[in-house]
Amino acid sequence: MSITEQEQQQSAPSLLADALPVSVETALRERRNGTGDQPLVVSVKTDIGADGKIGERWVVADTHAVRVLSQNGDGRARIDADLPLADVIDFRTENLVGGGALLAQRGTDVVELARFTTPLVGRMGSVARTLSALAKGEELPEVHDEEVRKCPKCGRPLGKNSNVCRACIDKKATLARLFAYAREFKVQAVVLTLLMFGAIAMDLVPGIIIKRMTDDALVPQVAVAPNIALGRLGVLVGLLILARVVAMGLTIVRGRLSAYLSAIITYRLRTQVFDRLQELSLSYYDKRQTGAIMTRVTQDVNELNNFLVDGLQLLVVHGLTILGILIVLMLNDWKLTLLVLLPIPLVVWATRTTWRFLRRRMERLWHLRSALAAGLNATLSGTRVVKAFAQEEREINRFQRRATELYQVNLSVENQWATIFPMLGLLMTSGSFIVWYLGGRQVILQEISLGTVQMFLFFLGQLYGPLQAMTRIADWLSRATTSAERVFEVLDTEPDVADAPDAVKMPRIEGSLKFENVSFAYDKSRRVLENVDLEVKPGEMIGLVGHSGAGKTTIINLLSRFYDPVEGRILIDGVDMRKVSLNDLRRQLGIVLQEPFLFPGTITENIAYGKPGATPEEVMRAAKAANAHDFIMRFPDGYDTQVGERGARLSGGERQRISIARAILHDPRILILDEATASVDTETEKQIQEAISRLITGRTTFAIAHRLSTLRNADRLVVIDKGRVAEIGTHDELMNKEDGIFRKLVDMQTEINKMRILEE
Amino acid sequence: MPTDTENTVNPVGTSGPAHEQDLLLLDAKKMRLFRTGGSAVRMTIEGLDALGADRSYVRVQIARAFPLSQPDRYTGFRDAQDKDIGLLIAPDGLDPESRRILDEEMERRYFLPVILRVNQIKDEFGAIFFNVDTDKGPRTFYLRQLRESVYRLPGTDRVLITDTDGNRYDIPDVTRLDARTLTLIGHAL
Repeated sequence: MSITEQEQQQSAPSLLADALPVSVETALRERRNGTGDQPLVVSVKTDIGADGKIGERWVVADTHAVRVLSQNGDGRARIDADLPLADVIDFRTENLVGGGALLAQRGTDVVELARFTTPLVGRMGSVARTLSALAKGEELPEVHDEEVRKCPKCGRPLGKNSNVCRACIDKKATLARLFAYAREFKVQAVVLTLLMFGAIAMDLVPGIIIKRMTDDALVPQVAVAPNIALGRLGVLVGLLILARVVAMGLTIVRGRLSAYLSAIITYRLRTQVFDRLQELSLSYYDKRQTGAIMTRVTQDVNELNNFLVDGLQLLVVHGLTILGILIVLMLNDWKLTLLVLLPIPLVVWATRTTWRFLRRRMERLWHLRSALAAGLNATLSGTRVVKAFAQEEREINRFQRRATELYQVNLSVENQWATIFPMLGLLMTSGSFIVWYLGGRQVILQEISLGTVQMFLFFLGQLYGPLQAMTRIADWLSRATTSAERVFEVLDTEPDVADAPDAVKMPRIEGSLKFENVSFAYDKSRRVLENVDLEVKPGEMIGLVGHSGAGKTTIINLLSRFYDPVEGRILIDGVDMRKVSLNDLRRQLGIVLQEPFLFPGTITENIAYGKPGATPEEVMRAAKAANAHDFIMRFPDGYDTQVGERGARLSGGERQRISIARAILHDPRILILDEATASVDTETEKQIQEAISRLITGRTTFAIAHRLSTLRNADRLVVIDKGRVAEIGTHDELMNKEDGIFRKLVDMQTEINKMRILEE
Repeated sequence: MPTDTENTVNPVGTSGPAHEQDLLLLDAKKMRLFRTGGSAVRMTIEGLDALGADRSYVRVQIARAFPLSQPDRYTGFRDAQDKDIGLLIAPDGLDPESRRILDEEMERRYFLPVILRVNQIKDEFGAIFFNVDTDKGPRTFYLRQLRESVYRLPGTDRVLITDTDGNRYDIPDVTRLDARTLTLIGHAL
């Protein structure tokens, strides 16, 4: 949902007001007699009935009571629950599997008001918050509309991560869009088309010459002297050769031209897809395997390339050839032509049927191929784990299973092709039998000349090739459109996180941050952050503490705007983060990750990743500040040392310091430290700590800290527990809290450290 | 290692010493579930205390450890603070009232309609429209991105499908579906 849409949304009541059926309305009116008829604050429909089955129930509330109603079969409604708000301490939703429940806390007990399925989870959460506010007499919370992912054209649901409605994409449009890429190369495209026509005309000439050759020179209709016949033969053979040579020349030029056109279009598409993939938010990647995404950039685009180079030419050239041949034949003997064409409808029908049958299998093959690639990717990247657990055997088996399945499906598809193809071929050649018999009969009866039959046979031979190829056109075309759809789908997917149309430029961020009632869920059913409120002053260092899975990383993800909050907002220097230009935000945001990722390249390139034009002095100054200069200078290739996949192996501490140097050079206003848990020796630890304390000076810093030493540097610590802010305070404040979560964590760590010392 | 927190308990019906990290196996005969008027479940375990006294928990949360592969065994109990209480391997042996509450809670927690019959199914340009009867009543929904929304439990004919709204449906035996349905979703299996 874009920001503007959210802006337009109104506050709670109107969004939580479903129309009530008459029966419910009536029952409610009867019941409310005592409390007058003030407007309902909440009236929502839930989708699980009182019997726990799919059904309808209504949750309605005014400022006095919340009630749950359901319809009886007889057109009347009954009241399942009626709870005075004064009795209720709090309302909340409980996450269940496949849905949730709306609960009211009454004393120490809870009362379940209604249940609902997954799509209502977000909305019912708003209902619970609104009801709580009502019960406590607080101001009603803001309610945001749930995003409805439906095609605006046909109302069908849209794909999870794509806004493309396949029902509304027709193949023609897809192809038209593909061809639109050729628009830039108008001249070449026109020349190409002319060349195609020329080549086809040249293909038709030999047939006519053959007819002439037979009727005028070889078996002249009117007797002529042999030397005259010989003369004619010479001229005709000469013409035949000439036609062939010209045809060849045209084909060469045409082939080269179309190769150029398709290559450049493919290139455009490929770079466009990659550009879009880079723009897309992390959520797009969360739900897809890298292998599958890679396939789109490589295989799908290749498929389009093949189609444009070969498929398209086949389509046009063969189509026109067939047309030309038919016209020439018709002009010579339309009756014989029609007879020859008799098997064609059968051929077309057979081809189409086969195609429909084979298409799904082809799709399956595609899927199996990318599954194999994705599996391979997973295993190879996990090689260390595989080796460490001695599970090579199992991985071999697993791979073999996948490969076997692919082999089997591949084999069966190929077998089907291999069987069906010759059968289709036989069907198609059946026309020549007709020519031999019926045409031959006409020659014997002297109704047509021998040359005409010769020409028919020649053209029929010419016809089979294109016809056979045309049956493959269906394959080409469908494969190409599916690939094109997939590619266009990526191109058409709008990033979840994108610049607002009225994005605010922020050339220099001061660094004050404010979380306002921020909630977040990676998927609808499970909230990972709930109502986080937090205010951070410029330059302040906040240590995020909490168990793993508590939501620390999610806070960091939101800060980096990898995702947008589901509810609430984050203000940066008082401006909603969604309104800040992404480029400005990310430019002034630095992240030092737990496991620093180094790109293949030199150390210099890696340090200067966030500031490509940095001078060598700047790079070295940053490295020096990060305590990385010394060890880099010890490398034989110094700052030119190759790192990354094929480069030098750096230790964890070294990688970390390089990534700190990267952050220092980037000079961010807001800094995020995801501190490594990896144990390093005391000296390295000291060096890293020094580097970090240099890095954080003067910047607003969020640190996910595991080391106590880092926590001591923090101005304030925020303890996150189950997605909520549990404790905030300085290190000492939190330590003095009896029974505090932080204190427990520290005690535990001290205990562990003691044990470590004992072991050493 | 801390050994005397409030959660340190003696095992019930099992042997061997227990501390916080141990999985506590509950004895069906020594535990009781009941309600106190509302929807919350209370639970008492006999002789759980170090002194052999009963322990009681309010607002117990109950969940299956293997909801898909072994729904009838291994039921986990957590307290209101989300802390693990213990695990019940099999519900046999629970008193009838507790058993009833357990079943109710499981029915409540796991909303997974089982598809009994497919009334109508059609392929609409890559989105598959379903009109089905389930054990929870009739339902219509769309499936999309078939390969991601159809999940076959490894080694079985059981299939779970997730519709475009995020609702899940159970097909206990996919081979018993009608031919048309099978063709339409079959190639995603």
